[in-house]
Amino acid sequence: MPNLKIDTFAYSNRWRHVHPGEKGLLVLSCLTAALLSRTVLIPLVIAVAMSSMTVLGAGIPCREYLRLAALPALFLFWSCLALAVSFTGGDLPLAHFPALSLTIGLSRQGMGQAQLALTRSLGATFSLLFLALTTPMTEIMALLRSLGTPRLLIELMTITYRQIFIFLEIAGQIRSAQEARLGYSSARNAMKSLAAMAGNILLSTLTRARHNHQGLLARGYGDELLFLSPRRSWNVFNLIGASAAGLVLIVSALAIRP
Amino acid sequence: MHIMEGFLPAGHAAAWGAASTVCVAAGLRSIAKAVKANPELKMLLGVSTAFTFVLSALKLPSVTGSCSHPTGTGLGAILFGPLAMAPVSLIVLLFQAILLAHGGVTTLGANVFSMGVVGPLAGYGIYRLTKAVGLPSNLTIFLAASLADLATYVTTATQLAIAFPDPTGGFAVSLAKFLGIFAVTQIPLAISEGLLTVLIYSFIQKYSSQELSTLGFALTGEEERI
Repeated sequence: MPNLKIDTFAYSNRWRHVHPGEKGLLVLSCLTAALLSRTVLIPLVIAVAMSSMTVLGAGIPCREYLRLAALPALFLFWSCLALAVSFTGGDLPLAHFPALSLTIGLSRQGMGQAQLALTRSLGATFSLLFLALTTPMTEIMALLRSLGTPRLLIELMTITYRQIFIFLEIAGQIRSAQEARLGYSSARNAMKSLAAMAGNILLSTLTRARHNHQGLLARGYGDELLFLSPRRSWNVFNLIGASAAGLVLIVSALAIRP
Repeated sequence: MHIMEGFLPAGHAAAWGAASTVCVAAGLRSIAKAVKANPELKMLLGVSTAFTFVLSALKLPSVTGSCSHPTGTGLGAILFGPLAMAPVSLIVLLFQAILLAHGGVTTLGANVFSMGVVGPLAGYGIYRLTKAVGLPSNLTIFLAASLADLATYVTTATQLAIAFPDPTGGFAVSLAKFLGIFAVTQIPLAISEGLLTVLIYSFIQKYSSQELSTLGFALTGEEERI
């Protein structure tokens, strides 16, 4: 079972008490700058700055951070492969199949495209990872609500967030019970066990939804789930720092041309 | 399959975001209407969204040996109808981006469009069509779930090909490249998800169609959808 490490760190890092708006502002402007830039420089600066802030500033252990970043990086290389490879020869032929009259190679233009997409994606991924590792989901949802996200969507998110952990626990228990009975000994068995697990969780999903609703009704549930969110105070220095850094990054992303 | 955070250029990210916003808004509106008639539905949808998230976090043994993750779009579209799936997959994708570092916020629009709009529509359409033709129900479910996956994968490849046309061959060559490279993981995934969905569906039907019908789901007859 995946044990949502990111969520654990979000509640137990040094920058948890920074106002989510400040972190959100910084991340949003970094994402914008990364997307707008046409050279590899700005996204690389963002990637380095964000990852060092996460590790040195917020105090996320370096090893864990690298492990968390490894998976998206792997996906990224897979996607960039498609950009760099050319089937029409290209500037750097790698293999030639005369029978199919096909040449597989790397094209210079494609490599440039891949390079930009790769760095842009790295910069954006590290920015998002910074937000995810320093800000708990509940505070992100409170931020989204104050930014005007529809109430129904926020409410569905709140219910979902709570249920995820309940289901992960149930799924973990079912999984170890199934494993103890050799439920995953072959691919065929694994499929059967997975289906039984999913079916069981789906059923408990449906009954639980009814129980939750009745429980809430008994406690005066009208139309909206209301929570007290922790009071966070704005820090003027952080706010100025975040907006200045964001502005500089966006302007230089727009200004620097290849 | 999700497009990575930051992979799409700004213009494309914004355009797909706008397209998805329209679909999510339509979905939310229909959910709000259904919730007014049946208040319990909100809880049901929220809990089901969590179920989809957990399902997508499970590893699936795949035909070629590589591991993949089920998406649950086919099953969701069959149970809830295609319209409700846009907001649901928006939430699932956002949680995946933040809690699992899978996908991203800037590509959320593109991903919602492929996984929450095209996939469920294709799955639901196939489900209705094959049911009308009178195919056996297992085959119906299998086709709906696996074709929903395939539609999602083709949409994603198209989105990438529009954003990154091949320098020499243009859009078509680029589309062929993306389709080819992701076929390695996506075609086995579609087959295993189809099989898994059939197994889940028959499991539910066998052990608890009674319970389901008291909850308002009649799997065998005509269902009430959003």
